[in-house]
Amino acid sequence: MKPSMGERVYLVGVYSVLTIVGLLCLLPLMHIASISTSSLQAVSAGRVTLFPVEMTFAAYTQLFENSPVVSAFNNSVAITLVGVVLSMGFTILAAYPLTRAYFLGRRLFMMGIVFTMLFNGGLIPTYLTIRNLELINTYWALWLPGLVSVFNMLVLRTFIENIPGEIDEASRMDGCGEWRYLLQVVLPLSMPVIATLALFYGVGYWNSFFSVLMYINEPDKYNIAVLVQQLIQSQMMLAQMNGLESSEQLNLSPDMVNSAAIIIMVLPLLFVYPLLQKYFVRGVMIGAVKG
Amino acid sequence: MKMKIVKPALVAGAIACTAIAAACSNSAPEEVGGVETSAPKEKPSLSISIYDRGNVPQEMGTIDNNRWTKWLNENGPVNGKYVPIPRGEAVQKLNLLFASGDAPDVVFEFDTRFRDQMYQQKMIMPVDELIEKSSTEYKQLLQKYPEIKKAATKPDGNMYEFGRVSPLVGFQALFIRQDWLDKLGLQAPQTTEELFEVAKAFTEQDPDGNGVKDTFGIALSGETGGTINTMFRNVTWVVEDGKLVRGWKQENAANAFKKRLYDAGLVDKDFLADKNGQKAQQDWNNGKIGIFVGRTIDLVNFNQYYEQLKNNVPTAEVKAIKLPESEFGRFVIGVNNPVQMTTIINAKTKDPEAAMAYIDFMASRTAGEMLRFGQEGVDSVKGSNGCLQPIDAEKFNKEVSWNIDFQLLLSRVELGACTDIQSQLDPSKPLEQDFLRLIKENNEANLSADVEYAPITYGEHMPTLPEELNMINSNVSKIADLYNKAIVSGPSYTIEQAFNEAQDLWNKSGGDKLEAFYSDWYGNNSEKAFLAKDMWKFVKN
Repeated sequence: MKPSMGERVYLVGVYSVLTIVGLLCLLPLMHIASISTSSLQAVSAGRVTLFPVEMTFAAYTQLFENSPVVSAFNNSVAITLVGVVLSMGFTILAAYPLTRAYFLGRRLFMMGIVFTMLFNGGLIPTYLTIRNLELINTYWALWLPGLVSVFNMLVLRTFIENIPGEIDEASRMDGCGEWRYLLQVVLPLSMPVIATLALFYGVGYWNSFFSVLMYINEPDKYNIAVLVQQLIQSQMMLAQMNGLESSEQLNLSPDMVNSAAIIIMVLPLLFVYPLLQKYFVRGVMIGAVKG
Repeated sequence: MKMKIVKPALVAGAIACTAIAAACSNSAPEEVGGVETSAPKEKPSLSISIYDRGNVPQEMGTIDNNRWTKWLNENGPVNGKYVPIPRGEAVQKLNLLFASGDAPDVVFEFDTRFRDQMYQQKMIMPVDELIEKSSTEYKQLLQKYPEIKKAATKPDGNMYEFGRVSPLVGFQALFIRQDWLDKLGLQAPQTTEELFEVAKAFTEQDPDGNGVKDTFGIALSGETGGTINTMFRNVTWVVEDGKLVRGWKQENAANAFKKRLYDAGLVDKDFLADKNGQKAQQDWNNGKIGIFVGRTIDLVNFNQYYEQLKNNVPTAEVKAIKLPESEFGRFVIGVNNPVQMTTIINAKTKDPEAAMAYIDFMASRTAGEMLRFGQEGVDSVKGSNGCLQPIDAEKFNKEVSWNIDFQLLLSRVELGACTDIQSQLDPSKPLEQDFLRLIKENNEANLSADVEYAPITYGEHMPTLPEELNMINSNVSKIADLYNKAIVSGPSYTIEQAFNEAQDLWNKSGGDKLEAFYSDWYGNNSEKAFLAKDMWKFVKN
């Protein structure tokens, strides 16, 4: 079956548009990566575009030697792994009961939960709450306040609601209890959504910046997002025209070091995406219920 | 059936409780991050803010617990507990700490606006009496330099801030390619008119001799664009007939000059897209711009503005010149702030005397030299010029140079010439010798008697606007965009049109309130405030 002329034109169009969009995402990253692996001379003369010039890994050595990038990276990993497990667990535990028609007070709970989407206490009251719970300087201050994202929970709930009632009935018929139904039927069927939400949570925790800034006062607990931000901001402050602070031998500053830090921060996410790819499959329920 | 519903809820609840319980048990105060010193018990405790820039090498510890904090606690009067403040979001974090009552006793912060807000909200303490009663070092500094009091005094007549004093030097420099001038048989421009001619020649007569028309006369972005404003005294607030008013004439003239440069094609057409002047800096480094503003204040400037250029264009010859004269006068390029306020004491502090003792210690010569040069014989050693020099640059970087934020009370004017950039350059190296010459040229050009400081005072010493005027101020800041539009629009949108629109916007936004505020302030404070003439007392002769 040969594609017709029209189909061919259409395919060429689609592929070229997608290629351009893909490149648009990739090029800035390549540029940053090239800057981080080029020589200071080449970077400051503006000779680096898409490929490294006078390739060197000096920026990375400098970063590893003169900044706590390793510990910050490990902290980010810890925050993300624990955070995703906790958040995902509680999102599932919140979403599932809200899909059950026989759950008393479902409406009330729903309203209470959605209410939090519209209103929050504001920065200072939230900070005071966290402080009075004695969570300052612990990662619990990052995990607990946003443990369940209401939006993610609603997405999951909608998905679970769409699992045909016949599957539920069949499981009960075979003697499935509430827990078993959740763990052995609902979860496997919801894998695509769970993978997606886990990714959302993961990226969120990996990039958590503001909360770390607010609640963590010990530099050895900072994560990579905060570290990168400090490096970049420090340099910007020094370059400002007001010359408030003089850059007396700031041991880390040039663009290449900042780019190196950005690359170190982005790489793990680049690796995680393909691994999760296999769960984004559709049609797991095809054939589960006979029409 | 009912049972089946209750169970999951119970389990979920149980898990939630364990999480929270774990959180609480986890939050017992940890000794790891605390400062461990062998200090005797009688030293008072004090919490102190310190900027965190993420540049402390891992093996050196963290910004709040390292070789320097230990040294300060062992040798200083207090047992300091340092609270790291991430540099990028310092104001936000400090605001949060003040609002929640968790702010440190002593706070270092560069941001004048923030310190002023803290004063307005009564969050910080007046310090005249404290200095009078219990200060030693800082009191002496005040007696020696009474100008400090001018800079530290708030509207209620009390001092609220501590600061550092530095010699006044040329912070920026107007660099010109002398080899291009020679090649084209030109002189350094003395007036803005001549500046235009030189820029034209630099653009059109192929000064780099490569046969391609690829050079720019001057830059319009970054600090060079700012310096063109300075030449015309376009600094927003100017004194006319003894009153402080908005300088429209100056603004029109400066922008008209920029437009001429732009229309004649003597500058990079994309200068508006060049944030922070990075592109212009690259052009300078590649020998493609003839007139450019750099800095001569830090050691890093040597590489930034000179060494790189010489690497790319070995034949380049650079001179630092006086700003050309305009119809408004002849002005000084950017200088540093000789009296800079950096430190405040929390009004809630339990032990103001301890805070004062700490500030005295940080302002002392002992602490200053130690923080700046490290330990003699270990980190640095006396060089041929009699100044301490790092023994091993790389080791010095790792061990010492990241402690700059502990030096916010270090008065360089007291520490002497060894803290200047000149003593860190090595005259036996030809390029560094050149840069020493440039620094000298620059200071001679800008600290001489025949040039005037364009604004009435350094930006940080201008009064801070009350909150309601701040709104107006940010509304009228769009005026700059109107003028920029005029610069790049050719004949379709003139400076005249921009000026009319700008005045319109000014009047609509309530600019007259701003004008009233500043002229009142100037009328009442022209004697009391820290103004340009006070700055010039710190010129190093």
